[in-house]
Amino acid sequence: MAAATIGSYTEKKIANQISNLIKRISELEAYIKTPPCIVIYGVMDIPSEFATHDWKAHVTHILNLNNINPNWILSTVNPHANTNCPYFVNIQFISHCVKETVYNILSSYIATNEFEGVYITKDDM
Amino acid sequence: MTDWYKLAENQKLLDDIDILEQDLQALQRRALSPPCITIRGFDKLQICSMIRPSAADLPFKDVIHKLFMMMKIPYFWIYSIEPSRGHAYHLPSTVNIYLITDSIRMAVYIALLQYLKKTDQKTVSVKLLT
Repeated sequence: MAAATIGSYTEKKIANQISNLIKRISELEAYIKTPPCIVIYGVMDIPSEFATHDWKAHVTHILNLNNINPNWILSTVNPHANTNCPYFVNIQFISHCVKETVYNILSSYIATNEFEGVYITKDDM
Repeated sequence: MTDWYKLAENQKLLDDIDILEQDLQALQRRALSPPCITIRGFDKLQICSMIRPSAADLPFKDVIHKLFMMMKIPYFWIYSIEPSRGHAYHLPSTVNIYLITDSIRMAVYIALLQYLKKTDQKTVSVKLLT
């Protein structure tokens, strides 16, 4: 009887661990397949001479200011294609490690300058 | 007898789960960290022998810059460079080069192997860290 109880406890434990592993593998798979991306919200509230004219020049200027290698960037996307002053922009990078570095640089830039209403997010694991 | 068999089977499953757990953690680390190539014997590296007989006269980052130019590889493929042994600024014996993606790492690795073979540098070796 006791052996049966132990056996059933172990089987439950195994089932839980396997289902946990499957979940984490799916998460990792999704993370690897997702293009590495950060989103800057309130991007036009960051002061720059380009702010109201050309959003792409504005974003490029911010990246240049922070010495971010332009070759590390795959694309910058304004989800509101019809406006020159998007509230947020997506920046895609060539790899996750590059994205992490840029995220840290931009976070610290935004925090240091205390830009109001500006914040960034990234896809995270 | 059956119970013992079942217990042994369960234990094997638990051991397999442990191995899978370790593999998953390694994959997670790999997904998050830049892939690396190690150059051993970096202080013996000869580059551009017509211009400069030895890399010893240059800061090591300039040597890598020159090396990448020789191999016609874009320098922005490098994520970061760290001398892992030897504290002399000009002459670390081992250098880790972190690349921006896994596929780029393979391309750089093959280019380095070919370069070392072409220039017949037997004291320098490259290794992929996994």
